[in-house]
Amino acid sequence: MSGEEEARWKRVDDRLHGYHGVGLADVLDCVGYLREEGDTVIAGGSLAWGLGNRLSDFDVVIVGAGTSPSRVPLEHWVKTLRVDAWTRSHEGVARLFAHAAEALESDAPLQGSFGTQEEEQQLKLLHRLAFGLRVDGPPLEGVDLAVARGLLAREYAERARESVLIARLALDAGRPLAATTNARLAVEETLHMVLARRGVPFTGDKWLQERLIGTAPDLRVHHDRFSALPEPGGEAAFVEDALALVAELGGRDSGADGAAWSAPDLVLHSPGGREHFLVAPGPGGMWELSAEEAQTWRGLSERDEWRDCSKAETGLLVGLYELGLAGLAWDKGVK
Amino acid sequence: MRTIDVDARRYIWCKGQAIWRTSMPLTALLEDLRGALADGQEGLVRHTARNIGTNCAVVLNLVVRHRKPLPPARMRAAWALEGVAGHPLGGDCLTLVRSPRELDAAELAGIAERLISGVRELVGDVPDPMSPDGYFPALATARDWLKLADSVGVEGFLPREWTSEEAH
Repeated sequence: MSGEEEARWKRVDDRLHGYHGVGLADVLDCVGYLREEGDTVIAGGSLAWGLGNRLSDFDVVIVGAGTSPSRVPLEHWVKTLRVDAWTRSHEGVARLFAHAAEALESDAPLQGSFGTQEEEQQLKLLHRLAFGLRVDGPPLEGVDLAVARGLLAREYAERARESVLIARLALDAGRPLAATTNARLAVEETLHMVLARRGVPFTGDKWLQERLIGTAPDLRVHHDRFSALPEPGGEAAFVEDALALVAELGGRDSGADGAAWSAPDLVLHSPGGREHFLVAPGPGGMWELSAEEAQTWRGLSERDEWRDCSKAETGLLVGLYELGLAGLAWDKGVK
Repeated sequence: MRTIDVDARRYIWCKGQAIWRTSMPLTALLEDLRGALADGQEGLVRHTARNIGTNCAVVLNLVVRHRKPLPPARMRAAWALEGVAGHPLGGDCLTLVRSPRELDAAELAGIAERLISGVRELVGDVPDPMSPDGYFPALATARDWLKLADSVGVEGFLPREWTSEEAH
């Protein structure tokens, strides 16, 4: 262990003792049953990065030659400290980083292939392995810091691109809440992208403000300016200002270029010609359309691809996207 | 005996999702909120309170309006708040999502605690998976609802990243 690693080990150990009266050795004892001789234990949650608090759990990843991957975090308790353990094999780690390297080389968009926006599981795992604290065992092979950093920056650049587009389209479609929540999201995603490019390890969306205070105070003012949604009437200015900031920080505003809508599971029925129902047999639901909306849908149905849509088509598609009935796919990733 | 006035597949999908979200994400968020407030981490309080507002609005849509499917994460706040605009708890959801600067961290946390209590009253008792005593009961509850979902042929509610092969 290098001097720097030892110092970090001690800082985390002291913090755990201060909060819970237990240390890293106790954590290792607790998860010992999951380990084979020579396995590596990495701590990688907020506490390992100097964030977290007395109620934070302690995330560890156990990696070994023949370790079976855990599908869910395995929960343990060491006195009052909750320890969530993930297990992975050397091969699984190598595969994850190879997959990430390939994705970075490719022109194709990532589009959630490293975890959903809600869970961020694979993204977090990559960063835990790359930037986490090695608590015990040999250093991991095949872990590439540049790949972990590059993937995170790209993932957030792609998310921000979509947030920018949706914010703009939702504003035009008269959906102010969707517009402002996506504008705020675009700012935050862009800040994550900037942090990743500066080499700051990813800790999940929730720690953004604390991360900015600790590692990028120059960016905090941007975060604070858009953290609260505007009062009614101020939505358009809020969205425009947010999108201008995103562009200034290096985010992408490519409009709808390279984006295509789809809604493959929807079918329009107009019994008697007077009522119009959009039916989704998969999710098992139906939505009533106005005569104008039904006409717009028929126009869309006659086309193979939904690009360069008219205002009426875009308005309908944004509404369906908000209901989880339409999707948006991009031809290329953000490189 | 009480008739469930909603199609069984829709009712089970919505209630299973609501129980899952009340049990796991909301409990974890509440823990984040309390820890952040105690340690003066204002950014974490604000972000968590926002998430609580969104998640509570989602749960209300599921148990009160039986709305499905769930839209992508980026649209969920707008979708859910529109659905609970007239509900007594809808105002608190909106306040938390808006996160106005006039409210300090403690005030936001107070609203979030009150909101979660209100939502739990509607969903019913759910074991706390973040406590040593609640972990296994929470898993058992999830398993029972997953069995029920399976019995009517609807998709379960566990995160895709817990269940998909490619994630491993």
